Amino acid sequence: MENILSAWQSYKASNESQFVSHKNFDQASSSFFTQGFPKGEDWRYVSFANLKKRSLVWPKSSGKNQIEELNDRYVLKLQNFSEAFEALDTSAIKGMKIDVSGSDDPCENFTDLNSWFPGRQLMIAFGAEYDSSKPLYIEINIDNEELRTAFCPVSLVFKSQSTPKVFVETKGDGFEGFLSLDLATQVNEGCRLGLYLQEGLSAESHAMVNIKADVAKDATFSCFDNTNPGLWSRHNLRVNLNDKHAKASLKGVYLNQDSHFVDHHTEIHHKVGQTFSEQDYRGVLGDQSKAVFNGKIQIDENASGSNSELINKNLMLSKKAEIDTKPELQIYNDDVKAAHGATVGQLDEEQRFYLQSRGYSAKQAGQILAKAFVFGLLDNEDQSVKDFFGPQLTHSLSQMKEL
Amino acid sequence: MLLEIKDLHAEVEEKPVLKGLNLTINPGEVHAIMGPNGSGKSTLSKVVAGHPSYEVTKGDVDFEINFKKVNLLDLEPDERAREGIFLAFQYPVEVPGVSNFEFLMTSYNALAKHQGYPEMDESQFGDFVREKMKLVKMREEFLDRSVNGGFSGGEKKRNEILQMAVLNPRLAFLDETDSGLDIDALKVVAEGVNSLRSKDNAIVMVTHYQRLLDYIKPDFVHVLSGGQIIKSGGPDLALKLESEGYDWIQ
Repeated sequence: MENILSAWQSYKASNESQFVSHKNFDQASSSFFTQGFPKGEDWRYVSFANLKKRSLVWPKSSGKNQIEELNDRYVLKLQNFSEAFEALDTSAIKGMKIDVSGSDDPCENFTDLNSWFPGRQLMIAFGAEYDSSKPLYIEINIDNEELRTAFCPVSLVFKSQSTPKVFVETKGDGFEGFLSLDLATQVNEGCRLGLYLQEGLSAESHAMVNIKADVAKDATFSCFDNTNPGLWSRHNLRVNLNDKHAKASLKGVYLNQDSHFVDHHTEIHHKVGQTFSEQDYRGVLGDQSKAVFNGKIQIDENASGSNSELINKNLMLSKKAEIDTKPELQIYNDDVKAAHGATVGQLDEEQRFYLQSRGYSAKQAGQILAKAFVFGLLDNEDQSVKDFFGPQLTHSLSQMKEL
Repeated sequence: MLLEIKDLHAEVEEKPVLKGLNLTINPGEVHAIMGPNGSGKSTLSKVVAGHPSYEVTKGDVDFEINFKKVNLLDLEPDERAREGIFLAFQYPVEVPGVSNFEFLMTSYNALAKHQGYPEMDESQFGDFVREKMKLVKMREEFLDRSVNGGFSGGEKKRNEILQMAVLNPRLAFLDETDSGLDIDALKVVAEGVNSLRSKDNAIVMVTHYQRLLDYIKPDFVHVLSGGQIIKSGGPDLALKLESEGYDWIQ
């Protein structure tokens, strides 16, 4: 913890004037330095040992944040964690407002520390007049050599009165530090928010991603999470279905190789009746990689008529790869549907032979079957979503030694 | 000679199935292989196609490639396919996530590249495959669906014959292609197969029933029993089997 403490102290000393929320920040830091890294069952597979050894520094602001309008999209570039959010001018974008905020609900202490480390969050609000045909692409770029060992939290809050699609991508081939990314969303009545996240950090990075969604009446939250883990990547996804006909659709894919590790913890809370959720996570694991999937569904006593489905499918390419998958259902009402399942298997040899009997080499057959397994998740998505994830998924599959 | 099987022994999960099978097939011929359940009919098809679950313990399977005999058993399943061996599966496999069009075009181009004829782009192949689909009366929408995904039994069998039409194999094994087909679908499939007969290729039909042979006339009929071909003859042999069963041979 000393490295994080050191980074925190130097950052606070030099940036105190920018803090929006001293209270949250102080509470989180105090809690973290008292209790340390998270412990317990939910964190049993995450090793902080390597992170503790790293010399982490809070980066000096470098690069320039900017937002630009292209023909088919808006692009928000957050460059090297520059703090200059105020410089972002969205006055020309009808229905979009960017601001800073400093409040949030308390969470687990390490998560809170990351959320409030910068002292504020970047809040993006989509008003009813926002042109939903133009998605927002947020690029979190790290190309500053000094940031190789940085401790870099980013907090984004989306408030939706509209039906936007938001694509978030982290980019940093040379980044070997720790990235914490917080995405909090508030999907208001009747709105639909599509949130699409793709990791693109180096194989030596650590990442912790927290996604939280509060979904109102008749609103839909869709999320697709493509994890490309480095040394480890922990993703926590919490969704609250707060009113009737609120719906959540969560999809995720992880393609692990070498000794990479990814840990997905999802939590969907059906707080009232007639709410709906579906989860489909798929992983391909090669070499000595490891993955964890823990899907928690809570359906409250007064949530009659709710419907929840969860499936986690895993394709193991190596005898040394490992998956720990667990559905965790807490259901307090008899009048609900809650289906869950998990599969762990290898490439289907009958399918492989079928393809070979039509002229595909064994390698080609394996590649196409793995691709079909992964891309099946994208079948019902819009072309923009397919275009966003397709190239990186294809590239990641091509890098898997066993295929 | 197109294919010559000599003293073939094969087993699956250490259980011997083929026990000294001999068969010779020449270009232009259509053979029917009949036999009781468990006699080894499907095993023969899969061994020729190279299914990894079947182990050949003895014998040779010689195939003529560029006027030379090549032992098929030395080739991987995909190499055999690229040399013109085709197996129409008894139970065609579903491959979710791979479109029928992509699957067929990739197969076609793999064979084209190996055999030295021009590969096709999407547009060219689209025109080509739509013509072939008419042979088995398949609708174009099947091109966009995943391979055999959600197909009925009859549609899967038609799709197998469509693949045969696209790949134009030199030697095709049809493994119980008639099973699960109603009479109308059987006629369609049979017409498709008949349209693909030529003096340069050969077809081997593995079947339980004479009725398929009413629509696809074989030159030779063989009875496979106990892992060996125990009797061979002309089309009349199938009629006799239909009326008298297998007991009189065994």
